Amino acid sequence: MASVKLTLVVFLALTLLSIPGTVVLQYNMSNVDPGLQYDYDFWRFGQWTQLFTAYHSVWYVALIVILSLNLIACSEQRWPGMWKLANSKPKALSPDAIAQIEDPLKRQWKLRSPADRRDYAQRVMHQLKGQWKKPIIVEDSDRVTQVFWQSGRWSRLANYLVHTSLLVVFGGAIITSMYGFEGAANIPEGAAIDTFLIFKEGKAAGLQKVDLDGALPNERFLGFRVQAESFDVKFYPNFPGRPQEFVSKLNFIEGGQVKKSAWARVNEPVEYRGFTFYQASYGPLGDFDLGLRAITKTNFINNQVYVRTQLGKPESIPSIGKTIVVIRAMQNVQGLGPGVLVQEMAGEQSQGEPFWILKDHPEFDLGQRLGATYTLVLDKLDERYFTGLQVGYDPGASIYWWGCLGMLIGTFYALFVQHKKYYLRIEGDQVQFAATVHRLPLGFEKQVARLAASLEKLKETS
Amino acid sequence: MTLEALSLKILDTSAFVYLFSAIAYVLAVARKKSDRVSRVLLVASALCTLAFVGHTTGLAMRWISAGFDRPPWTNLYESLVFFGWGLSLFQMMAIYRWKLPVVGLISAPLVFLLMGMSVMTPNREIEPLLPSLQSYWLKIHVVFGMISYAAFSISACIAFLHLMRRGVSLTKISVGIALLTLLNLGIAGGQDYFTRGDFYMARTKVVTLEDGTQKRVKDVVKDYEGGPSITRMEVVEGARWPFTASLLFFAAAAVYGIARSRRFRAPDTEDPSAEFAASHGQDLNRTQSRLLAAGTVALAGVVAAIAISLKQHPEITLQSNPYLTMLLIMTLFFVGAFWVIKLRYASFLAQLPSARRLDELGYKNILFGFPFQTLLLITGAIWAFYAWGRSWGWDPKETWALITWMAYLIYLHGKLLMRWKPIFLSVVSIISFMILVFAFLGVNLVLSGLHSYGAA
Repeated sequence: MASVKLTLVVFLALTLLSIPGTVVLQYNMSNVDPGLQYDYDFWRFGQWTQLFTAYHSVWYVALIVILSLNLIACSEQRWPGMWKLANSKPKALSPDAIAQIEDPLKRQWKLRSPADRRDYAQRVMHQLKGQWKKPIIVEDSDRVTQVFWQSGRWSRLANYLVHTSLLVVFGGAIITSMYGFEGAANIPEGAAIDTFLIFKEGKAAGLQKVDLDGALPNERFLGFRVQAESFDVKFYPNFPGRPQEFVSKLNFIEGGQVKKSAWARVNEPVEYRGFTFYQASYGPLGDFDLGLRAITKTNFINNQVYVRTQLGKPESIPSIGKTIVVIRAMQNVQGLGPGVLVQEMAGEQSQGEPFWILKDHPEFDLGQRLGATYTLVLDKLDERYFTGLQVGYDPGASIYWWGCLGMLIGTFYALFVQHKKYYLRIEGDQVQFAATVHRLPLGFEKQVARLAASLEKLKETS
Repeated sequence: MTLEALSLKILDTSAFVYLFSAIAYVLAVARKKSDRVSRVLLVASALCTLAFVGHTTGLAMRWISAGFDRPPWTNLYESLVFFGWGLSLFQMMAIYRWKLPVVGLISAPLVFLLMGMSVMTPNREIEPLLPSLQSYWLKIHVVFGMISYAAFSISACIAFLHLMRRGVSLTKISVGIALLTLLNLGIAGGQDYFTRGDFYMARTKVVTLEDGTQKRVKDVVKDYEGGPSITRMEVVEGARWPFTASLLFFAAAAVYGIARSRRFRAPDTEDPSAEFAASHGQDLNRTQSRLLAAGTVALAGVVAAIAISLKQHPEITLQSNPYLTMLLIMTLFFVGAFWVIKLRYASFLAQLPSARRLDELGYKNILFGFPFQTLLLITGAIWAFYAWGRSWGWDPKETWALITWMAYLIYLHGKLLMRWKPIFLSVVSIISFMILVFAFLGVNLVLSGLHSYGAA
């Protein structure tokens, strides 16, 4: 269990097993049911191998369990050694050991005289202390003085932070998959709901099924009512049909009382009683709120009648003696902006050809129906929308975010900080400077060269 | 001219300068004399630098004209330019800081690949952001992706040079060429090549805009009112046979070479000399060279088939399938580089620093990129959590980013704990890079998901 080979085999297996799920449709992810998309034999094969729930399949979960166990075993086995390395007592390096260090990581120079040895060591100590280092003298005999200092020794243990954090992330993910759920609800503007449709449901999520007539099998009770008091979508002025922002005002109602009311924006979810509501989408209800003005041409100043209407609803307007019905409404009529198609009625029968009324071009109607005794002006064309909300509960989130933070700090610390040890050995007037590092960092050789140059300079100040 | 239009002009120009620099690198390696610094190499690096300066200026101008809140990395066009810029930045580091200009032989075609695709991308206007993209997580998420992907890419380029410098046989390199061709054109053909055995290019038509200018756009039709938009496609006739033939020839050369040269094991000495590498690597015999030459000719046949198709059908252009065009050009570059290296093998090896140095540089770049790749995944999860209500949804783009991450995890554990040999590590680095290419481009072109803006 504690072998690194096993770790690598599991990594490779996880990498390969992650691929099929990106190619084949997945249950709970796409709107298309894999059962409808593939032929029967492939579907049977996929069901048997859990291909359509690839990332929750026995295979995948088993690999993650093996990885976790392997991780724990490896960590436990290596801990004493690593702890020792990070906390080892500084010891003096023999000339033979220094000789084994690679050339770019060592330098040597001569002092003015052998008598200068201890003073020089003190000056080195002083300069290093000024740079927040903790040098110690590890050897001080008649002939030899050796100074030692180190940095970044905890990076030896940073991988433990990474790996523990990874396990924390796994833990959070397990809690989410057990107790959490994901679903969605579409609420028409002004309406309220008390159920939603679920996509993913943890075994212990504890949601109440809706068992009324006509309920869908994945419909669940919220336990309160949510009303979309209003919905607003703003479009970019020069880019027709490109939404800039959409928001819903949500009222959370319990026992007939509004307990909380808040705006749900994209990227800014709203939380109520553990449920989080995310503004995800919107769509037209196919319904318009229309405001028309009928103007008699002979008396257009005084004879104006306002009509508020909806699509397909006949409106009789006494002032012009007609019944009209709006049969179509569009946000953009061939680049001319919002408009409606109006039909005159005579009783149940339509009368004459339908005609367009354009909101931004009221003169258009005057020109097209020269013989008519009245004209219509479109004052208001508001499309009614439903707001699309994602509904979710993610109890593991606070746990796995801490795990992610730990993983990040650990990864940066482990890979960018190295355990560096420096030895300055003075024998007579001969100074040997050497450095070791537990993992190759960027530009360490240059660093060593710079440090050596600054230490060599100290011999001059005597 | 507006700032936006000017920045487009500058970026397009720098794309062409990258092309010239890529050509110059091939010529620099092709020269006969084997002195260390050649003048052509200096010219190539100077062209690269010039292009990088233009690239940076163009990107900055685009940012200025779009406003600070809308960084220039929010749609397909911009992400091509931005990731190309990242790779170009690391290429500059390689040329000036690590004193490794030869890496341009591999990396300059890659930068040109991204920039060339950006030149051909149809939607290049600065479009305002959709609500889900209006998040500061977007800004940092993509930047981390750029840093890590650029570091990994340059590392793979260096890994390739490292393999050559260690004297890994040209036979094995030719296996790599075959795989690369398959990957590139597989991505370019999308599912079409694998499922229907053909390459397709979108039909285009010329429309007159409101201001009177004419523009070529994709010929999109709807079968019925409100139905899905369908781009009308044209089959590139005759492209499938030369392409299949080139793959078969490359594969045959590789199989033949491996079967014949099993006794030449790649020397994995501590630090081989260039002469040692040259004596080990040049192991192509006449049959193998002929097979590889046939593969190259067949690849040229793909180009010819596309040229004929363009002539026969005026409604398709090179822009119709930018990925096919650009990946084909890149494949041709790499095949060209392969031949140049083969013909000037000793002088090419003499231009490279020691194998140890190359190994170190490749490793350091992965070390640098990996934490940023981790950041990419985590910031992506945070953003998804706020926008879509789930932190991890196994969407293809997410999953492939995770696959890439795991591939580099394998590299790091192999290096740090298993002490894998440098040659093997370089191979792992190159394979991981191919996974990365698929995660960055292939997913958007071949698979679909929430990140599928690339399909537009």
